[in-house]
Amino acid sequence: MTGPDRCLSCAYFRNQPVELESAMAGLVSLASAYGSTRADDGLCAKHDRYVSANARCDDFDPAKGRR
Amino acid sequence: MTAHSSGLSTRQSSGWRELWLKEDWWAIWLGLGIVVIAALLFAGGASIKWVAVTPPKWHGIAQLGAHFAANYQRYIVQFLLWLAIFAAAVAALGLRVRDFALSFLFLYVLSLAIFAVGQWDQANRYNLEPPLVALILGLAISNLIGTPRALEAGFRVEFYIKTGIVLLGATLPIQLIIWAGPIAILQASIVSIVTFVVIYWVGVRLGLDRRLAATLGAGGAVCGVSASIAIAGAVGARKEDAPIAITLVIVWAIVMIFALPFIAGALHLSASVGGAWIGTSEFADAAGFAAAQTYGAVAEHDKLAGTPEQAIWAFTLMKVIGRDVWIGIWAFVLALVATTRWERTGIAGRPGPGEIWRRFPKFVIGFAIASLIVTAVTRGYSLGEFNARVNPALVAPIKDLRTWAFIFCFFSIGLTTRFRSLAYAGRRPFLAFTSGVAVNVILGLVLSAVVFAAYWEGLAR
Repeated sequence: MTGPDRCLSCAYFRNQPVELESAMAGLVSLASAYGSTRADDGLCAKHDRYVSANARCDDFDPAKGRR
Repeated sequence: MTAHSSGLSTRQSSGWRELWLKEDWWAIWLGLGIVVIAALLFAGGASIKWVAVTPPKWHGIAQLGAHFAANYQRYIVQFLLWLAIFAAAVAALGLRVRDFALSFLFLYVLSLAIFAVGQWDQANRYNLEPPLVALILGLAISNLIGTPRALEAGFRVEFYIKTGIVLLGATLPIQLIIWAGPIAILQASIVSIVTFVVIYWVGVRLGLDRRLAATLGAGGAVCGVSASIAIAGAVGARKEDAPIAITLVIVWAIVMIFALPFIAGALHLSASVGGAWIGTSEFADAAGFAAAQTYGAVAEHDKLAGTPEQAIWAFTLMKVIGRDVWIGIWAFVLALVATTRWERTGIAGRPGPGEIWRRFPKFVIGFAIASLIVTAVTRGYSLGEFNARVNPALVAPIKDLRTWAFIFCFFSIGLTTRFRSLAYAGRRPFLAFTSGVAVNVILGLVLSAVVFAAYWEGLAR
């Protein structure tokens, strides 16, 4: 599923590999945030969940004017 | 755009962008680049062996010193080549090249020392196999001394192991992959499904959230930390769930690196059966290769059937072909179940089958292509010609570079594993995961050493 209102375009979404490797203790020991299996998943600061970039929710906030 | 240059908090790296924004593809470019250059030089009557230098077997320090005095230029050139190709990838991925270069110098110098220790003719007698030495030295440095943050940029465990696996493809005949692949897939499917069900069932019975139970289950059943974070994202787990799974996978994976080779040795398993068992029962590729390489050396030292290379081959077929490639399907199915059957989270996943390709571990493609290339190049040579000409000029140098990549990886595992900084896992997740570990290890042994033993023994033929 793709579209302009998916998580990847949301202000609450964080999926930069550097940030993820720092946020998830031990991730770099036996894996990496740069691998294919992670796809574009990231952390949602609104729901405190690790979600797919293609997910959606009612709290979507456009990334323009990112806080 | 990179994290450093853009300040953006999101990055899209799927689709075509994956070709330069994911380390799987960089492992393919680097690994296949080496294989193609090696094959072209071989076809022209030359070889990459000058630059694929490794410390030789040695008895006395003077002998080793003489080798380094005579070959130091080759090590300098090799270091610069590794640095150049890894730095190109690191720059494209968005990491700082200057930090990487300094870190990689540290990594290379100590990896050279680890490699040299492993080549001592008494090393096996004292269990100084390079994977174990690299792991213990790395763990000691990171947990007792610590490393400056700037020095960590070069400790890229996954990147090194994926590059090594692509190079490994060049040393594994494609016929072997075709012959053993179906058995590996069957054995892996049995173990993966049973392990996942055990962890998930015990986890849910202990009161764990279903998404955490699934994240733990995938870590134990499929491919360790990579599987845990893939499933955590696919099912929309809480942000603390993946770190819990990461902690448990790391702790058990490190225990297994030491335990499996020595139990396999005590049971007198052949190199290939031991490798298959490790491929069935280790969780992560990097940790599994450390265990399989160690077992190859143990089996050789104890004069058990098979060769060290067969332990690596069996492990690879079992782990990479049998387990890793299915992560996309696991993610797709579990995302569907999470969306349709589990409690709502307020986030709608609505997964599609595209998930299977998006999460496919692409480095496996490089592994298969490398095998095809070398199989094609070496077609038509008799066994005698292969041993006399093809192996020393083409296959052995690629294998030596693969060994280097694996040592970078094993040392990086130790250097990046700081037990104090791991997330607290808790008793219930520990019990659920450990139940799966117990079943996985026993079932993996029965399938490798009894049910499918004849197939794994057949690798030797």
